[in-house]
Amino acid sequence: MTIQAGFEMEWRTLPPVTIEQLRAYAEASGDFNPIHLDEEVARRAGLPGIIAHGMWVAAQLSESAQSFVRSEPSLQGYQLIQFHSRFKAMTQLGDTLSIGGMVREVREREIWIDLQAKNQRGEVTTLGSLTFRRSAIFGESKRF
Amino acid sequence: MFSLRHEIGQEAGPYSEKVTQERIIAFCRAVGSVDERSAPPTFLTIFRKGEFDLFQKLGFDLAQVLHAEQEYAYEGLILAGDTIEFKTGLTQVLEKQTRGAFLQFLTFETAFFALRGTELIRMGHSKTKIVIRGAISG
Repeated sequence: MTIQAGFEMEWRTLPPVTIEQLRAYAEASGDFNPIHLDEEVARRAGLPGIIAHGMWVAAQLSESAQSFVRSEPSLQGYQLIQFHSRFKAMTQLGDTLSIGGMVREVREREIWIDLQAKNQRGEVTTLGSLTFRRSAIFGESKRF
Repeated sequence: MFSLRHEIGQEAGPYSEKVTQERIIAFCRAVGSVDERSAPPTFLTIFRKGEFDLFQKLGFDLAQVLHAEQEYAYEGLILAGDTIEFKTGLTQVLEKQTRGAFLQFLTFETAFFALRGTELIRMGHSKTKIVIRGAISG
């Protein structure tokens, strides 16, 4: 089966966001902005409380897109060439995010995928779009 | 709060950072990546030192910064053992008056290169758009 525009990926729901997760992400990414780690600083900055790193949510979008592309036989050899994410709403501790996605466009050697993260209230927190391109070398050889 | 428009063109770097297998694995675990052999797409976020240094240089408080947009263009795969060289610049400042608040959207662009042998190979490019809310300290 060939993937076509409009194909919807299965939704993936993540466990509630914890402070331990954000600490591990701060360590791994080097982003120690205190609004992601310190409740008091976050409130003083006018936020409702600690908020998750936007890039942690973006990483969840790209994980979903990549595992879709890797598991799809007709997309073997496709490499990510572009990733754009937009942060629409904050994610707080305890929030439960669900990640969904859809194939927006399929071209001869490219596939464009749009993704979104929604919280438990149904609000879209993050939008992402990724472009994968079939590499001339890997793409051809893996078809045989 | 004063305008940062006149700061367009400010640069930071070049910086040089070693990518170890441990760093890739720690990042994969932090984002729940199933494939720990390669660096996830958002791994480029570990090279934000130029942005953070510019935040400081421009005098605003990290707690007033929210991430608005992030764009990556990939030209090569970063591998364990690579030394990544990168340089960051402030390329755009947009000002917005919303519901009585003065917001400034700043775009920082970073170019990434891997030093392989004696060659610098282009690995990609990033555009980070952040929003600064409220007053600038200092």
